[in-house]
Amino acid sequence: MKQGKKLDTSLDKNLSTLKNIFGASGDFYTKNMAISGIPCAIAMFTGLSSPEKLCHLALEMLDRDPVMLGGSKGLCQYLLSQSLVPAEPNPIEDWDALIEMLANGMTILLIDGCQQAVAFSTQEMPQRSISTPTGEGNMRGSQEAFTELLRNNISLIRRQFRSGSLVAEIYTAKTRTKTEYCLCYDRTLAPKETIDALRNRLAEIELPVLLDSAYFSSFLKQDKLNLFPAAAYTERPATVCARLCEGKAVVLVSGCPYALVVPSFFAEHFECLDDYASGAVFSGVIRLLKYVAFILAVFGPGLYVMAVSFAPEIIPVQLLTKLAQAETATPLPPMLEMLSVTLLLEIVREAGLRAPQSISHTVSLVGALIIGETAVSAGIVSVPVLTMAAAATIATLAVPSLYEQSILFRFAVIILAGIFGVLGIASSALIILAMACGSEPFGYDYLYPLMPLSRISWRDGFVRSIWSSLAKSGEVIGKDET
Amino acid sequence: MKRNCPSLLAALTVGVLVNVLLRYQSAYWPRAGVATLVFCAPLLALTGRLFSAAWRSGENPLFRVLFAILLFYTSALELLRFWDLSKRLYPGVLSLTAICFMTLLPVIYLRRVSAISQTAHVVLCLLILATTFMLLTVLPHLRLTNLQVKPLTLSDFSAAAKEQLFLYPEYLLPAFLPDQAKTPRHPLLRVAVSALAFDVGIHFVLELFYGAALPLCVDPVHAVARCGALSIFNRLESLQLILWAMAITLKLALYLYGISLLLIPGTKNATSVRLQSFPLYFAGLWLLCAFLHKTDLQAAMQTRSTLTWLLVVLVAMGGVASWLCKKLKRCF
Repeated sequence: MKQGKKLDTSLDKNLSTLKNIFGASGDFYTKNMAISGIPCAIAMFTGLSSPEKLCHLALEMLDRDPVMLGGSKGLCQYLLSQSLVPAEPNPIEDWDALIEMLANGMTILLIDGCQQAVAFSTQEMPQRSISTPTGEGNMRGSQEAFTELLRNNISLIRRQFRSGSLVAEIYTAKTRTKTEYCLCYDRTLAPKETIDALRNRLAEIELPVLLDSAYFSSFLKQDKLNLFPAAAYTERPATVCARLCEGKAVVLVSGCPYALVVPSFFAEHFECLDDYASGAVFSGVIRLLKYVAFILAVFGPGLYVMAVSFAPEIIPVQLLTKLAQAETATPLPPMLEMLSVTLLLEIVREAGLRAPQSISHTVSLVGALIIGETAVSAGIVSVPVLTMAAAATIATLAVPSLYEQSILFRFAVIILAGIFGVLGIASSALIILAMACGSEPFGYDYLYPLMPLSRISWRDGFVRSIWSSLAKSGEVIGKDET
Repeated sequence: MKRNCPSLLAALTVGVLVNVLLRYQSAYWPRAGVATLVFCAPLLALTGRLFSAAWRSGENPLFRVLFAILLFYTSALELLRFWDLSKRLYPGVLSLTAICFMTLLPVIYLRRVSAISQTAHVVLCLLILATTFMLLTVLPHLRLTNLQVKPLTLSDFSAAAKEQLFLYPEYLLPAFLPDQAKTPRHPLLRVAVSALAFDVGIHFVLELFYGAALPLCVDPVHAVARCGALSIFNRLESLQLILWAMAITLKLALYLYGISLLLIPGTKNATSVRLQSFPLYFAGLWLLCAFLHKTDLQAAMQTRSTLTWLLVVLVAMGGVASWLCKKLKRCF
């Protein structure tokens, strides 16, 4: 391997080195040729570059060009600076750059007697077409979603964010696979120190492989014991555009259709694009419903266990009678009963998600109807427990971006409430609250704009004020820095 | 939204408000409380202010250790007071170890100043909301005719003043807390006025509820909460207990932050407590609670207040002495 070393002047030596590196690969393609009598060779990966495109864009044009004087170096200079052939403006001088260019789908022209090579943009990679988002349901707004190609994703953002202040810095991550990532921000809105800190942290990250933007997330977390996410994810260019307008930064990773948004706040998990397309009252109600759904998802089963086991006095007598009847018919104590039902629901969900699509519906049907119905009729679990667990599971789906946290918190709350009663609920509630309050994504308050309570909490926090007045202010994260 | 050192005013306020709610028995008649509040609140604020000035002038390792011991002892008393309350409300359900574990567990996540500050804001909001809510639910049980009309004696005023001048460490903590962003003017006066006004307000509600029987009732606030009725929840004492537990944990987290600032060298402007300190803190507090669990809490709290006042006097003397030394050095 000649990585890091300069190219040789001899074409044969360069070709031999290339064959040593890539010779075993079936998709590696080289061809010797002569341009204006100078021996040259092209090298490319057939799956990433298109020989037809190369012929059409470069070789045909070179055939028509007049005879060039100045030998090999003159040819190289001519291609880089004078010719109409779409060559990259900078010459390739070392093997690292050459390999990276080849891996990016470029075609490399090696010239005999010249220590430099020329790259042509002839990429033609197989790609998925732009489709609708699968994980972020919205009724209004753009229905485009990111794909796996980094450049395409940048273009999707740039198409919506048509301002000269949009910056898209592309870097190569410190991985074996040399994966590219892109840091996007609006240079007039994003706080400079946040962008600098993010850029530095991303540059320091060393990974064996970078397959998803979420791989960066753990490195951006200040407190590793904290379960709340340090960043938000979106597959919508429109959402990215909205976040950029708030002065946030977005990280796109090559091969991943999800953008990472930093800094991310708790309230953002309860917002969506539809909020701003609907009326203020309706979107306010929907937001409040989402908060209630999150609380139900996390605390619902735990509160049930606590009420039934430790504090039956808080339940009205009629309801208590029904609950008592149901509980006496089942063999397990409420905590174990709730835990087992919640676990079973999670297993059904995981099986439905991972199973092949053709049988995933069957898994859900078997899990939900047959096991649930049978367990109740056999007296293994009670109907109230099943109802509460199902309600909590459905409520979790109202805030899908906090799914993992909801599940983990729910189990913790059930266990603590089942062992310690009211105090267990208090302790778990405070742990969750402290986790949320202790998250400091890049020094920002995670609960912004919900806490401390201020005008903005009601303008675009728990609820949303009228869009025409809200749009005028254009809330930006760097604004209130102290 | 971005802050280098967030304000702990909300945490200090929660710390003093929860003392009102955890009281074993009512302390005074509200009319006497209103009269004494006028001079007790400024006096407490002034004490805190003088303590800060003296601390900055005459701070030394002995004072730091003494203050840290006081905070640690107060933490243990707070835990024991909460255990005592839960024993009365849910007899036999929770052991002292369980109380220690459940109250101290969230402190791990409250080791950062930002977490304490923001959690305090949330708990304060919840406390106010829950108190208002519970007040609304017991509104039908409040009778204006329960208000006492008998003339107040000097002993009534003296009891109110004695109770209101109970000195909590919250009034002294700002002396060494790092400079905070966006602190309003006269923070200690605000804390003192809000705490004493809340105390008087709660006493007023209790008088409307109990009438002449007010001084005799045990756990009066909790007993009032028990009468609150809703269509879903028959009684609201559990909600109250949850909030109290949260407030006490927050208070302990604030004390722990204070202890770490006092005892660990080089942490004068630290914004978090080191994770390594927690095992020692948990074990130490649990052992102290186990050692003190048979103590008469009312007397211990009174002693703690006296010790706090003594510390104030000691630090004030130290501050004055240090100031005099500096002046004398300049003269000669």
